Amino acid sequence: MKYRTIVGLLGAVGSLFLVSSASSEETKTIGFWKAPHSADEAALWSPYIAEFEKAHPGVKIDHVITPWNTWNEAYTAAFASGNAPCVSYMVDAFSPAFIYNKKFVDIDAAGWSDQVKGGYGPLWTVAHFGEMQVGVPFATSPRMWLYNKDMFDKAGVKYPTDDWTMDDLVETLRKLKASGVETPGNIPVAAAKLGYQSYLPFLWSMGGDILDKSGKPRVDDDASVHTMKWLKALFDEKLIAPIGNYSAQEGQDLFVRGSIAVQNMAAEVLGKLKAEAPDLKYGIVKSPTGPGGQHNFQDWGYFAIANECAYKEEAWEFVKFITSKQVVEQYIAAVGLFPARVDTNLYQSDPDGKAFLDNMAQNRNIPIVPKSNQIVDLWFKEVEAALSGIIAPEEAAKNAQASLERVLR
Amino acid sequence: MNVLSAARRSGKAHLGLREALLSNAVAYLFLAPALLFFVVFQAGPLITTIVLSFYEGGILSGFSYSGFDNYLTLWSDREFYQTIKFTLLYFVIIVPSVLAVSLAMAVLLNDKFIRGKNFFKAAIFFPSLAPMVTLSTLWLFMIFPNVGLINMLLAVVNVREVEWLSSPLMATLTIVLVELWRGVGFYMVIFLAGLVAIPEELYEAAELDGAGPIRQFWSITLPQLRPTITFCLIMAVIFNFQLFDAVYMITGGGPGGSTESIAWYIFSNAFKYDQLGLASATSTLLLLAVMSITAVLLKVLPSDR
Repeated sequence: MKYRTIVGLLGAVGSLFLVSSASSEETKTIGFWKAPHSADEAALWSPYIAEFEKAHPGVKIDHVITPWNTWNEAYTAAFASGNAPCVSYMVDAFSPAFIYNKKFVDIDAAGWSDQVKGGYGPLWTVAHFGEMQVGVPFATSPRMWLYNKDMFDKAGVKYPTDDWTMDDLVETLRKLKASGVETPGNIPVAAAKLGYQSYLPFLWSMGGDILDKSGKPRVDDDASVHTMKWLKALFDEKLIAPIGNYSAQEGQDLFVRGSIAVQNMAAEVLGKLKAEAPDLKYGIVKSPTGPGGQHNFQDWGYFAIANECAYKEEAWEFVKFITSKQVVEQYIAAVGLFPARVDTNLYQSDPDGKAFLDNMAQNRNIPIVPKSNQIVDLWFKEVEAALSGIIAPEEAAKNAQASLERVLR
Repeated sequence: MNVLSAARRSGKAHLGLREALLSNAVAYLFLAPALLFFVVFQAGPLITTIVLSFYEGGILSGFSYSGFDNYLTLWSDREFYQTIKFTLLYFVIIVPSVLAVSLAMAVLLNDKFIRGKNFFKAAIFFPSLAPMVTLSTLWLFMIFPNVGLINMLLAVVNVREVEWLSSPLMATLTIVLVELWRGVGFYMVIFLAGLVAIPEELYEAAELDGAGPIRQFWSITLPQLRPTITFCLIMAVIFNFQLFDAVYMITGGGPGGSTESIAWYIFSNAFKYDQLGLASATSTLLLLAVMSITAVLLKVLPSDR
């Protein structure tokens, strides 16, 4: 009796185990993590997820919206602990540690690239780092300069044109200031608020850069020192809002409210202008030209598949689906981003959007190399110190060069 | 001595030892949850941190043994010295200020003629209970340029707008203000407990001898509060050497890295740059520094009445 009871119990436990194993074999769960680009992020993705799950019985998408402010902590913990989501949305500037520690599937090596790259043209390479295609490019938010036409008219200042120079920018700001505009411009360069994104276009246009072509730091050359001096003069003359006062986002809000005359802004501002200030008259213009050309900042987001994902083929099918022309056109239009796909019709009939779209080729990003984040932080901390008047630009350049050489040694 | 030896020989002492062990076992059983917590969440991580300080790498890149390399890196790292400089500057400002202000508040609120004491005690203590993220966000609203409450109030009295986060001095003072606001309530409550314990007769005798309130404060209150002051000082040293959340929330270490604390440096290396080994070496040095200062304070300052 006792023996029978034990055998019966073991049998029951075994059956349960088999049933649960069978059910887990039936359902393949794909973790899908993405930081939000909209307050309705979950609602925006849910129809696509439902459509994919319907077309792929046995595959379940576990969608997690990860907040931006704890992005690094969340993804680092997940990838380090072996719990990485199969599919994650990565921003290139945030992801060098994942890329260079080989946390993603190389799409080229997996033999998947040819299935999709045709829709991307040259932009396919924006997710190509360290001789790997680390993901499928998805979206960006390009930047251009916007100016308030009413404020310019009131001050009697000529509108900038696409061929304006950095001297023209200074002259424009001076004229606006002289006519009584309290804060003519905003160049948000506080390090804590990703100020390097607003600073780099000036450095590039002056002919400088963070690293040279061989990957060695070059932040103490004449162009670097000159850029700091040039920008500090704008702060000293009070032609732009004091350093640290407003982030890029706060500057955008002030522009939309008509308090700032001119600022370099990400394309998201277009949606804000349409929604909150439909009567505001504004113009869009390229970055001012300098001796090094005409540049602006732009980073990219891409979808990556984790190397440790148990269901890579299914994850790839999901990535293919969410980066398809149909989904890209719908999602990206809904959140106001710009696509990496070149075969969409997005913004073709919207002059403002088209201006941003056409200018994307001119834009650049930080170098995506191992230790990128540390390189940018250490360098820009010194730039901020120089712009704040804590140390001289020459000293900041020397310090930054020494710090970067130490890190890259 | 002979009796004890005889008892041991006869086995009675052995029986006593067993009883003692049994009695201790019950004590250990009661202590077990706390001990387990201590081992898992304090001793374990502490030992791990010390061990990791001899490895290079991080949780994404993996670890490899590097001996004293992390300590040598710190020795030659200008950023590290900058964080020490700021932490010491902050420390020198905040510790005396927070203790002086809380003592003053406690003495004021201990006065029998003050009305609404409980309200003031609760109001001053409240920031100690609120999360730092909430407090910092509140302060960020208050110090926001143009439309921030503080600048608006300053404008009413014709004082020029203050750029709170644009210079190292103002950014440091902003952090000090926030931490002061948060810390005063905590130390005030401890000082109040100390004040209540001072015998009333001492003040009555002093009054009879003609001592005024200031004389009474210097000759009775302060000497009687020495153990409390020592305790508060040690707590303030330990808390403030670990300054992090206000820096993270308010200045982000800026401008130009001028408000980066040692804890910020540890955080950046551990979680932003995937250099947990270097961060562990820094943490170990911070631990040694806090322990040394605490030991010196305990040695130098009187701890009993």
